[in-house]
Amino acid sequence: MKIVQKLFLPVLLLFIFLFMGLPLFTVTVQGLAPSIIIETLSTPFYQEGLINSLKIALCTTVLVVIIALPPAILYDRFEFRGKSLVNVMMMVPMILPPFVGALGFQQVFGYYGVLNAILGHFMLPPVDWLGGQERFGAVCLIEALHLYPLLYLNLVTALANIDPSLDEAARNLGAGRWRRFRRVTLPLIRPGMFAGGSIVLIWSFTELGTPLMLGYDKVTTVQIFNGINELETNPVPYALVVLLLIFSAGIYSIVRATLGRVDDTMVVKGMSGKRLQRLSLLPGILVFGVFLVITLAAGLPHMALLLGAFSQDWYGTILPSSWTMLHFKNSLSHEIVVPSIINSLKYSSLAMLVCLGLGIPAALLLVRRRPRYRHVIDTLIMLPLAVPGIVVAFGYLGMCSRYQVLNYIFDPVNNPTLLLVMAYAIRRLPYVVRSACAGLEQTPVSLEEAARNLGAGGLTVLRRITVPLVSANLVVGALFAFSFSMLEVSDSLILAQKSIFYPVTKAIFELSQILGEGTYIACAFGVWAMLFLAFSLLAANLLLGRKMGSLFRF
Amino acid sequence: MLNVELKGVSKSYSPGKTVLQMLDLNINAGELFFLLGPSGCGKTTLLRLLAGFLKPDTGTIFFAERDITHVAPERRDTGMVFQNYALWPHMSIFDNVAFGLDTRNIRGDERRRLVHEALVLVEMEEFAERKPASLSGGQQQRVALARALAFRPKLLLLDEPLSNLDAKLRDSMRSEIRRICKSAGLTAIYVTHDRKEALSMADRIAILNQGRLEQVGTPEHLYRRPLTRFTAEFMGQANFFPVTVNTVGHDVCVLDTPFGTMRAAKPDFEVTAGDRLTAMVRTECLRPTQEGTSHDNAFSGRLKAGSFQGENSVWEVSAGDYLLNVLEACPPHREPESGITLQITPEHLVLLGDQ
Repeated sequence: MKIVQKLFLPVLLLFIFLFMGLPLFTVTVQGLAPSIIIETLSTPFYQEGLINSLKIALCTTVLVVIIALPPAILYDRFEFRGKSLVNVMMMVPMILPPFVGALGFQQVFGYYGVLNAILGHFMLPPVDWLGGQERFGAVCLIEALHLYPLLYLNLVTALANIDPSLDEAARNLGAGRWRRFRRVTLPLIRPGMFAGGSIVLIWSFTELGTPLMLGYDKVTTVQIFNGINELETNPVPYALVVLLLIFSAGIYSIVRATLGRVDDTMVVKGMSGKRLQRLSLLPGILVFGVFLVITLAAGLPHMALLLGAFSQDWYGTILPSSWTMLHFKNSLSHEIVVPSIINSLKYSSLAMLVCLGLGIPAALLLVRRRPRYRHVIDTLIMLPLAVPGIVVAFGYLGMCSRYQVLNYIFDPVNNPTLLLVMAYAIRRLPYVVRSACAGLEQTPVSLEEAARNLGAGGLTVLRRITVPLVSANLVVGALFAFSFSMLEVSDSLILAQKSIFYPVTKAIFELSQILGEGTYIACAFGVWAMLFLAFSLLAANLLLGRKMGSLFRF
Repeated sequence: MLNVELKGVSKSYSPGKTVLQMLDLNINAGELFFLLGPSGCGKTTLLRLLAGFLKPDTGTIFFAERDITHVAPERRDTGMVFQNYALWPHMSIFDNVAFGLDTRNIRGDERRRLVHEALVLVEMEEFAERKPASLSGGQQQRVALARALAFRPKLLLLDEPLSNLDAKLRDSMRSEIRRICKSAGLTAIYVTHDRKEALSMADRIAILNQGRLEQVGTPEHLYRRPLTRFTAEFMGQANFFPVTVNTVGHDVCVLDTPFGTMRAAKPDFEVTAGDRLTAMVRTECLRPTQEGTSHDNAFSGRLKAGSFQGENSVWEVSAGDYLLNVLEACPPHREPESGITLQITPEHLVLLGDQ
């Protein structure tokens, strides 16, 4: 046990260094030539890309706040019929990675899509919902409808943590509804707002799948992706990656400085019980309706995806003109589909094992042994959450071409398995560690001390007491690591270059690019993926309940 | 200063589970009034009804003859001190205290002056720029009081404000709160389950039991002349035994007790000869006297056990079929199984109204 403890920290640090530190370093070194950066920045094409990326991030975040804040407040204030359902409902959009949602989205909002077919049915002129070739609004809306649960869960948790007497005290002193919201509630949920908002901001800033799928190439991420083939001769993609990284860090710092101060710890002792206002039938239905509308809006692309998967021909009509089960069969018999499922299962299971193998000892170290340098380790582990997948993937390619030794070990061109697993693992490690830490913090040390007092050694305590007690948290962390690995986009698109190594997401992307039946097959494949993630999230929600929100903080 | 009146107030949270039953209560202007009772008796519910956070199912609440039953909490002009203080962690002490002035559009120098005065009153003026998290429990309690007082409310509501403090601080805060209320001329309603707090601070006390008013009166009256066994037990240690009224005189009545015939002060309610009632005598009012000589209103018993507590002793004395608890101050040495004579002054033998 002692030796394990001594060895663990170097192993963890080596892992973080090799799969996060070194790639970040090579990307930075290769892209940080001032002349290239200036040249890139002064090229109108790339300028426009960066500005669009920033605009997308900002619009998406604003949309997310608009979508997530009202239902979070309703959930916190009122008791109504069907309340137990709404949180599961609100999770629906997490079922699909947004780039698969984009597939369905076009079926609904495209020029020959469902909405215009409905308009045509009533003899109305068609509307260009996606904003022409620009697709800017579509990208923001799809991402917002996908990402709002991150903020919603954080806000619900933050609101639940406010002692109701703080609001009552303001009321007692004569403050009306609006003043109480502005001066008491809003400042107190600021940390939750920051936690959720900063993830949404950075996520949407660095999102590759959605603009790529919608064919919107005037954003930095897509420009980087398109530059991948000329990597040997063209340094611009590296410069773009560095710029992406600098801007991400900049955005994060600005948001943190304005929203993220944590000086206001709650001082209230002994939380008084929350008294929820019970709504009668009609207002209750109205409130439930708010949740329903949001969920339906978010679920629209998914439903379209479902219909697309069943349709034989769907072009310019409200519903598909004929139906078939063929795509489900085809999607499973297409030559790249089944291998990609096997690949994804392999990569994701391995990534999950790596996460657990490193995450459990890391959580034990952070919570139980509480070393003085634990904040440093905690920050290092959480860092990958803030580093975009596209940067990591690029870093891996960069470091392998820079250091021949690594190219020999990882061999990204001929077999990217190891790199893909590590790329998945390092960006999911934060979820596993956070989840395990939460479990350990809720488990009194005395339970472990009691076992020790009765003669159990370190490993026995771990096996018979600690792990069983935090098993729910471990299961949830592992589920997240696995599901999000299955549906990872950036790393998969960039690192898997040969079709025999394609994971699910890359296969869906490649299928959707095939004309004719490709889209439908991709849809069918997307449905499989959706069912899969739905099951994982449902299980996670049942196991963890409201604490789920704390998984998405960093 | 205002007087508070409750008429026929009831409240239940869910059907069938009544928290308050048809309550009538008058609280005089300028009074420090206590709501006292065990947990779950409805005292906090009553306070929240007064603050306006709850609406009564039936009945009316008046502040200074004005019906405020359906007035929103923010329009009631009551200052409330919460059990957990409820100081806003994101505001400085100054901003916390100034909040009630902001909502009343009091600005500038006037605002600064009133906040300063409130902080001086609780001796917290040098902490104005600090945040609540950096204060100790006692300091937070003072700030909560200052916040409730800063806008000069006419009615102060206190919900177990001292329950989170240690014993020593609690004692000093008791006289402090009373001093502040009296010097500001406030009507104050104070909820607690601590009878010592109520005895030492209150002008009057209402005892609540399972949502009903058990008795209202001054601390001394409630201690000396409780009307029910519940009040008697809640206010202090006592012995109870059944008696039958023998004769009723002008201001005393003669009782047949398990220990012989004894005289008791006439109770506040009507009694007639032949009534079977419960009598109460406090442990310190059973006074051990000289053994052997005959005494007025006395009986003899046998000492069973005792516990020596320094300045006083608690004896268990068997008399008739009863085991009585006796508290003796400045106790002499007594041997178990020795005889003992106990004397009761008639005014200390109290007839209870229930059973």
